[in-house]
Amino acid sequence: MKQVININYHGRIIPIEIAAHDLLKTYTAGLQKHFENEEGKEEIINDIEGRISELFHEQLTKGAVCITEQDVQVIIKNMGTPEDFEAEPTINHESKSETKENNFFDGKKRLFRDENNKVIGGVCSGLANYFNMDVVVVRVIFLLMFFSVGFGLIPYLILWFAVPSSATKSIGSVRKKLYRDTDEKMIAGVCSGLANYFGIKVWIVRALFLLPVLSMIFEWNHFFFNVSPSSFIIYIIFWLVMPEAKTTSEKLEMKGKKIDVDSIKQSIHEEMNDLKERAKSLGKEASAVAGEKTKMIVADSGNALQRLISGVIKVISFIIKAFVYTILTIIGLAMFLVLFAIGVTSFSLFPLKDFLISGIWQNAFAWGTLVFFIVVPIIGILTWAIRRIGKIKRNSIALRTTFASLWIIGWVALTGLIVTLGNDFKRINNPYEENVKMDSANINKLLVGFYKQRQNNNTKTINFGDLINVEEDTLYIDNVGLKIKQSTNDSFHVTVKKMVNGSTRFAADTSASIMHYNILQKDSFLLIDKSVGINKREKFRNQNVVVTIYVPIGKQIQLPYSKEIVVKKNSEMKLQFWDESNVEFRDYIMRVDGLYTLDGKASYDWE
Amino acid sequence: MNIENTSSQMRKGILEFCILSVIKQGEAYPSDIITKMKSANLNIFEGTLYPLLTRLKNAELLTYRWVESNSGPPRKYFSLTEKGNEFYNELATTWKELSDAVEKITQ
Repeated sequence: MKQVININYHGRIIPIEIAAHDLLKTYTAGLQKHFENEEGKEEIINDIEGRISELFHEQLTKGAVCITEQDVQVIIKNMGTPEDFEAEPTINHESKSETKENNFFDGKKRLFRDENNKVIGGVCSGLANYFNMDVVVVRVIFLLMFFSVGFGLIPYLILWFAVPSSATKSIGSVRKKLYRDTDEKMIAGVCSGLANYFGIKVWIVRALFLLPVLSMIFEWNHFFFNVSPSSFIIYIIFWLVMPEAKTTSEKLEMKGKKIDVDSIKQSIHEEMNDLKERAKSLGKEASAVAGEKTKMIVADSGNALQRLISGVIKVISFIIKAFVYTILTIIGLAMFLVLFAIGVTSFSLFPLKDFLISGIWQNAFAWGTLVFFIVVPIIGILTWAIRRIGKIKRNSIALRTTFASLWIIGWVALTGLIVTLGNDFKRINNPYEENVKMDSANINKLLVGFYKQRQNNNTKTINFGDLINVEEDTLYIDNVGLKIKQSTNDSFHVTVKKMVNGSTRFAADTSASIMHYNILQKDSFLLIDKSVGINKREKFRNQNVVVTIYVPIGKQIQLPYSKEIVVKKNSEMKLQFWDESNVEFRDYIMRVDGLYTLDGKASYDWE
Repeated sequence: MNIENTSSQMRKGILEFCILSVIKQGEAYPSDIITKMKSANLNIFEGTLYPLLTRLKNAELLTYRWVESNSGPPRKYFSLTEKGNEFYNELATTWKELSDAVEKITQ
């Protein structure tokens, strides 16, 4: 009884007798030696091995259970041994040197990933080949790039995907393929498939996927910081990209393990189907050839002008096609980036959601928009790109339809969200000026300062720019304006006007009445809060406040000073433009005809 | 004088020309080339064909493209380049002159 092993030989799984395999190895080693000094040695041997693999395949298709020693002997006899080559005609040395010269002048080499000397994807060794450098140098360059700027990874990944592999795999090596393992699945078999591929325990992969999710569950306060929905999204992308290992041979490819008798039967069965298809395509080819012949006859009878015209048309259509494809690619890429940016923004704005969205419908629409309008297309485009790169063609139409319909749902949700939110902003309240109680209105100089409401320093604050802050369950928005006017009597007075939007005038008025905004007044000090506080029940409905200070004639007011800010008579000055750390103050005096600085200059923009 | 050697030397010179002519008739897969040559009673080992093809390709006389096959990995299909066409024409002229000359002499 002879022992049979399975090898993955140039992309085919070949059951082969051990003795035959040894013979094959010896033969290949002989070839390696023979072509040692030959330019393009790898390619030659690769071609020969590819052909041998094809012959093996033919043998198996004919019904052989495995490749025997005799099969290999026959193949070797046909291919010829190195000794045969010596006697055989080869190109003489003159033309060989000419070849070299040609290469030298054109310098055209092709960039391949070197599968034989690879560490990760063979990118570095491929580049080293291409540039005639030592592979160590290239690796060091990539590592330095990666550790110094974190930049090396991206070009590496791009090259990995974009550069074709040299596909020179040594005999007996088993090329694994990435499949979803639905036999060992929890959800879709992604984790177990990955575990198979990398040869690690499945719980490790599961843990890697679960960790971020667990951290989300157990640390709700840190929601914003810890949870990126990434592991979830990555899982879905893998799910869509990885084909399921359905047939036995696929399962074997997934694990890179031996084949048993059953699976061989299976693969033979598949092969028969394949054969049928090939016969069909052969028929097609025949008719195509016939078509070609008629075309040729037409071309011959037609004059040169016709040929010229058709040539020109071909060139033009090619240019147009190239142009359109380029534009489409750019548009696609731009759309992807925009969506991605929106996606990231909306996730980072997540803590703000509760301050804006009210009611079940708005919540549903908001989630729908986030998931279907933003996340789905991102996943869709990523999936498409990966499938493109990986040349996976299964179920393409079903996937496309699914994505398209999900995205339509996304549009509906977005529209719903905009409409319902817009409705909530439809009306404005009836604003009135509320008087602020003054301790002593008859002071000579009112000292004005701005401050920002702060609870205590222990609470977590999330800042969105300078204008929006979230502290625990309150949102602070810097939306306060200041007006300075002339008082009609001889005392200071200050008013506050609150404004808010709502779906109806009544709703807006109600919101205004519960809006809390504080001004601190003590002796001659007036401290104006720069921000409006909004809690989760109130929701953000464009709340804003205008504070008006009425200054009596002959009295002074001191204001924080900023170069860009001018004290205007009738329009409001937005307090958000004042730097909080500003400690410079300026005194103004109110005269009959307006506000003046103390050195007698009229304040700019004050008539 | 070794007869084997002489005839092999003679074949050596024309092999390149034959391969180029087969490919000139249309894109060809290496085993097609072998079949065609065999049918013309010109027996060569496949193992010699591949290095020849690679050399011709490196000399930019040939180019190839990958064609997906139903069974297994894609195959290399070879075709002539512009330069290869020129080279072929040169060889054809040389061959014509030679065979005419040989015919006259051996008559």
